[in-house]
Amino acid sequence: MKRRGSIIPIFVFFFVTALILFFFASQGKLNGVTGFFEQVFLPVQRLGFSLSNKPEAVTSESNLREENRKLLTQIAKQKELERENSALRDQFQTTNPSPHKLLPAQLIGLREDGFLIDRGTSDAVKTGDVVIYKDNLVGKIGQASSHISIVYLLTHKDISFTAQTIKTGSLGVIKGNGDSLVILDNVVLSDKLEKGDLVRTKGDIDDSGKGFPPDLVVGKIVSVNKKASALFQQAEVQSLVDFDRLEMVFVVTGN
Amino acid sequence: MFVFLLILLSIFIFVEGTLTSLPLVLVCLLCLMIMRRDESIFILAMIAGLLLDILSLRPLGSTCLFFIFFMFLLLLYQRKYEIDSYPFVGFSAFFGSLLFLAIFGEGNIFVESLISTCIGLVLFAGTRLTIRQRQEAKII
Repeated sequence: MKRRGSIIPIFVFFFVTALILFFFASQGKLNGVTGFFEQVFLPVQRLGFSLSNKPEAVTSESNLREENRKLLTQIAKQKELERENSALRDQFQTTNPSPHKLLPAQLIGLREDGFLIDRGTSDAVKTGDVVIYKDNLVGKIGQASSHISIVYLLTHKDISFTAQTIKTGSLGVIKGNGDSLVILDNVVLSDKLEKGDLVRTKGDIDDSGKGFPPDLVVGKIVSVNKKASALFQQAEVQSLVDFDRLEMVFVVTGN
Repeated sequence: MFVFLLILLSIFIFVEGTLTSLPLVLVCLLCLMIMRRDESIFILAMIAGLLLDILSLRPLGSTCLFFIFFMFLLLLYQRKYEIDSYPFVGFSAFFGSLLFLAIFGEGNIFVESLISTCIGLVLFAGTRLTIRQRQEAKII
């Protein structure tokens, strides 16, 4: 059995080395090294994730589900067009966000609160960038390194933005609670919330270009919580996107 | 068996960095430490920790700090307790996992710690069986 004395100097050496690495990494001085190894391991991560996440066999049920999602998105777009036609708008809207640039990204890993994608700061991805899938809001970039980023889903507790229902036009705030549903909160009692109504982003991009673009589908209201004694009413919203089946998403860059 | 555990450690590093938040690498390092009981475990803890940091987007060095310190604590205990036993492995795997998940993980850390403890005990049982078979072969 080894003497305790011979272990301590070796432990101190490794511990101090790890501490020095941690110190420099937290200062951002090791980003180049980390980025190099991320590039090396990315193909393995992609392969591992694709092997573990085989897409379901194409069945009539899955086709119907996809068609249903497309139809719901089309309904949302049509209602928005109807609303725009009925109002007087100036052709050059100063509040429009600058043109979007969509960057395709492949999922390479899963997290408790989101997933990993194979795009990072070297691809002009930054923390706070919005992630979408076919006009549906998926989440936002929570953390970005050189070649990999963590996407926080809508259900993440750090996600919060203004949203509006399509049918009734009720305004509220979408909040993630760490569960599988998101909450449309702070809706005034006088507004109407209907089960089955679609919710879209209102758009709250600031001058620096950060925030959620407008007219992205958030999900469908599955239940309404309205109490006369409360100040506001709430609704539970379920996304139209099956996050478990996602393989590719798009990052909205260049806001 | 040592080579098998090394291969398993490599697989666990990628699985933990890509698919799950279970501290599989920690329980694998625990079994390797019980098998080797020398300073080589620090090298493995350092490399495994650095790789996990790269794959999980944690600050480089954060995970290997935890692994190195945890292995050191367990090596200190080998003079006081019989570490080659199921109670010790179960206890250290559970509390090590709980602490690891409390620092780096999210979600239900208690359930995940229990699961990783079970995996650790299974790994340890396999390790112990192989060592005993080798000892019997040497006697013969």
